[in-house]
Amino acid sequence: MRTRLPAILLSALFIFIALSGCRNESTRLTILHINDLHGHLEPFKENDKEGTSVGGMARIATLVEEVREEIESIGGHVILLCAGDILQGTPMSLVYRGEPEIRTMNLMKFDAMVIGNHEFDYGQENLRRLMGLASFPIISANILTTSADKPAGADYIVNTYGDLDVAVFGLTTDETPVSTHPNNVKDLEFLQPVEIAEELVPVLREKADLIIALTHLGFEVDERLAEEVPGIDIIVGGHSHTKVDSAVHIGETLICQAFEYGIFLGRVDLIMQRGRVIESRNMLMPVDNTVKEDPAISALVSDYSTRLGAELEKPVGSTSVRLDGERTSVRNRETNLGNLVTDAMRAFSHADVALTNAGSIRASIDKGEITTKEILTALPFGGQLVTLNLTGRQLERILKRTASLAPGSGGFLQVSGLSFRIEGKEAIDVNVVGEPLDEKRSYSVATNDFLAAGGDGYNAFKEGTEYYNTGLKISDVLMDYIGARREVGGQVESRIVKR
Amino acid sequence: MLHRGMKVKHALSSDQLREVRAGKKEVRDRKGNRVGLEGALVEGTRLYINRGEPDANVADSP
Repeated sequence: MRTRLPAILLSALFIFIALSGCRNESTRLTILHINDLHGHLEPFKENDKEGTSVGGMARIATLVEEVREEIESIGGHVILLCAGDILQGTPMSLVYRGEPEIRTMNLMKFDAMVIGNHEFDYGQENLRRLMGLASFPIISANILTTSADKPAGADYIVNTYGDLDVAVFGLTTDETPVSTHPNNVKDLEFLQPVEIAEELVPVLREKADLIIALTHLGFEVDERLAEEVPGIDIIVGGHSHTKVDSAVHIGETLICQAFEYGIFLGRVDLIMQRGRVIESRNMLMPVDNTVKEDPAISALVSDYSTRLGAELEKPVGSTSVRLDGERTSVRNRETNLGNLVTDAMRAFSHADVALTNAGSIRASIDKGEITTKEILTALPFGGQLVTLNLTGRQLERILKRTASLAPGSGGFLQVSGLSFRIEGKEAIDVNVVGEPLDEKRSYSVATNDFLAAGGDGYNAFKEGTEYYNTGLKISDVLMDYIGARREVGGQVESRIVKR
Repeated sequence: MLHRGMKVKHALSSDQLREVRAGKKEVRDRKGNRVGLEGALVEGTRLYINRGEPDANVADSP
């Protein structure tokens, strides 16, 4: 005799089956991200706060492993991403040019990184070297190369996590050519990123359930990307060094960014069902001295740090005379160190003239061997070499300002490629490249980014045209200049004559 | 006037830069997000210096 199940039991059975089916279709996915590390592999003090250190790759690695354990233990998946600019910002980055960054990222099993503008600062060959060293893809969809030997990352990657296909595509700021030396981007074309995304996203929609744009564009451009290109689920951004505490929703797109220097690890938790995001939340995980250091990453970074100490003490060249960077000298008159620094700037940039403010020079260099450490002590502020065009009239205004400054001002200029006399508070008899200054002529000028932005009251710089930032610190440029010549000798040459 | 390729720090006066570096003030964007001094400026960026609520407009990028 057949027995019919009571209706209530049947209902319960159907509900159970239905719920079981839903749970099986849900996928838990967590995205972890950093951006704009700029060589900050070691913990550091933010704003000189006593006892507080932030950042450090070894701490980030610990947090990553904790999240991996948490999410994978419940059947979920973790994706670890970097939104560009791992290079340029610390002596370690200067000396090792990204090698320790990539090696730590390999150990941490990053899934992808987008090319940032500063990845070009040490040249395309260096970027190619780093891409070969990385065990993860370094991507960008909007950099066009015209030569087979130029670095060209893949446009995107597609990986499968459980039953979920995830596409990650990269976008690099098209401002890169104005933020690095032209040689660094030779034969490269940076296409408009939003236009490229418009073409690419529909293609990726056919290949993946979830689309992540890994961008180095800046937060405001990320917003524009979300507004103009439907179909992107998550934008993980960088370049603007924005601390996005609560991810911004534009349409169906979530935008996030994790500030700078590894001070935070960004985390986006997603619950996906039938290929769609049904729930999301995000947070910034602080990387500070409450987080233990991963021993393997810590050992790797320490090894580089120890070797760095020795590297910084190595001579890059020598000087036959003491190079005068004393405050009372460099802020009041021409000095041989001021001449050496500005000569190096002019030589690198091939500009007509080079100008730097005395306040950027903070120490002398003794006669004999010159070490990297001494150069970094003499030029400690990290001012970057920029070039722009100024008219003779604008140059005159700049020299007039330097002539009119009170004694001991950090705004007093050291110069190369020109000479002038200071009488009273006027600059007269200005010669540029051996000829009298022509007010109407356009001159190429190398200076630092502080002055170019109108620092020390030099407003005329802001009127310049054809501005670009080489991406290199002036200390880098000086190091290369001395290294190429092995021995330098500086003297005062009557570039600035005071009566 | 700010040039393309300039950074947040270039939009500040020397006094503002000093205060931010000392941790006394922060730079924020129009959405109230804190931004770092080395952050890139893009066309239309507006920045504010404050300790909490937005108070004064610092600069518009070109």
